[in-house]
Amino acid sequence: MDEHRLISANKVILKSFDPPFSSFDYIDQTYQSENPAIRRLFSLGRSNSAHTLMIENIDPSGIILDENEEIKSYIADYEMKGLQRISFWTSKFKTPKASICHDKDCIGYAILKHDKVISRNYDKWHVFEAVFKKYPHEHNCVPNPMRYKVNLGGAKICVDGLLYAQQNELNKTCAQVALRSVISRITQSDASYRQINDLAQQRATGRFNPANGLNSQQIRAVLEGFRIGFRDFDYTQHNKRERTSHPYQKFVYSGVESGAGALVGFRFAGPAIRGSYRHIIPFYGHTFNKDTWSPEADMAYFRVGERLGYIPSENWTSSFLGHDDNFGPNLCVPRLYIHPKQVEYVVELLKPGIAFGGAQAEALSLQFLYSVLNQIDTSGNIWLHRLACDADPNIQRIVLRAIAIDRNKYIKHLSNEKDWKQHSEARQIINILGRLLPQALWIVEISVPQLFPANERKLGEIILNGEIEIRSGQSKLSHFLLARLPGRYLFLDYRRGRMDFLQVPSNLTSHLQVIRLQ
Amino acid sequence: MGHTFTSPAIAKEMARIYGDSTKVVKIEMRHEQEVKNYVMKIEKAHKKAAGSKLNFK
Repeated sequence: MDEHRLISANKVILKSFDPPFSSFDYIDQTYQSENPAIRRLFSLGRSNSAHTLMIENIDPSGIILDENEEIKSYIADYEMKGLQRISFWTSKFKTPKASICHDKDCIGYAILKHDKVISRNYDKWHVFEAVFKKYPHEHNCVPNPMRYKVNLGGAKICVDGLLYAQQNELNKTCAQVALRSVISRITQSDASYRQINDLAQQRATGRFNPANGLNSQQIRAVLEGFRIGFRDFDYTQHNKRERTSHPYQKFVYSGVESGAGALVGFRFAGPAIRGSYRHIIPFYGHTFNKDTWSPEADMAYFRVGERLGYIPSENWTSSFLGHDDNFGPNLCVPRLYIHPKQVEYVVELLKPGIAFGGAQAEALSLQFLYSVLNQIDTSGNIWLHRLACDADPNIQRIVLRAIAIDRNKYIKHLSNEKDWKQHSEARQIINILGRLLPQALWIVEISVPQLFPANERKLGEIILNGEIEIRSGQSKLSHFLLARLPGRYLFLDYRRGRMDFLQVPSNLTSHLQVIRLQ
Repeated sequence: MGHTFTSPAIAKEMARIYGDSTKVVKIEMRHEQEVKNYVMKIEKAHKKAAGSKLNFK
């Protein structure tokens, strides 16, 4: 699937990106069109201090060759007129020798494709794909970035990021390119547009034309075809209040925080809009602002007296990181910018093996947590006591962060982390958990305000079996595996024929680092 | 209880190894209906979305 990335170039040109080189002039002269996504690529190069631009002419191969054949099957006079691989480098070099091209110096690459259809008066360049590294700032969070291997100047270069792709209005629209972006990350591979369109076609009524976009049923068919789990919500099928009780941001955050991502479909607005026009974009990361006012203020001022409240870690997120095929890759979309009434469809993507969503995991954990913390004796541990105070029904200032990971990652985390007093967990406990926990887990990390944002630490976690689907009539603790709180674990205990909990001591008596997927 | 209850198996093993330092505690689950309604709403919405026909272009 990466043949099109690894193909050798026919011709390599190196240009200094330093002044007087002008990206605007170069784009105007070379691509002869006002394509904001191409401008965005050069802008990313500039803002990441690129000194060298490498331009390579390549032949179509792999999924690009496949795309050309697919377009021809719909449009007889289609022609591919050009194909370029461009890359931006922080180093200065004048000869494209493999020995001087290094991963660390590469900011990103893009494959630009020139398509022509005479009968449609269509003659345009578009970004077939691009991968750019994220900004190095630690609060720019991209869990599980994908690593793409690409042939640049004869060297096999690895670029970490999330694949961006642009529509061409011929065989792909925003829906197909958004799907390819998320599929490539979750499957750790890639998808051709023919594969995506073939899956979508199965849910088509009448003649299928990929240039008309995909509907939500077809998006579901594509995800199912690639065996990607998801939870989606079509807000137009529900009462308006569901936009508040099940906000789209919650689904997006759960998907991105676990490293799977999300899709958001929204309706256009404005005085010139006649009819319904919708666009869909992928999200893959988020920013984190530790000084955010709203998490505590929201509970104190705007949710007074709510029966079951908590502070989701999402509240420290200022922006989601995503792509918009119209405007380019690696964009920050403020979390609260797209008004809920404009969002009509959201898809939370699930990691392999996970059978339900992050919002559900948080709710299931909250039930357990608020039951436990208001009933157990907390006098022996000051951190447990503080946690119980924040779980008081009149306060409810518990911070929850749901993250889907596999057993090995959790065991590694538990083995490596130390609490604030430098205690490690007992090897015997870790071994039992490593042997008996299921593979796919929802870990709901528990913290309190000022501890979570200041140093990203937590007081414990509730672990749920992520492999079991949620069904009506299930036992209330069907998914519960264990709770780790300061100084103790709690497990379900049926040995007496009734549902008790077994409390087991833990060496971890204070707080430890949250799980990081970056 | 089938495979859905892994926790008791872990509890049994922990009790075997940690014996006297373990303790059985009884906790009454609260907020059951509220949580059930919330998580099932998402499941039902997901199933209902199978009939969604919003087009994205």
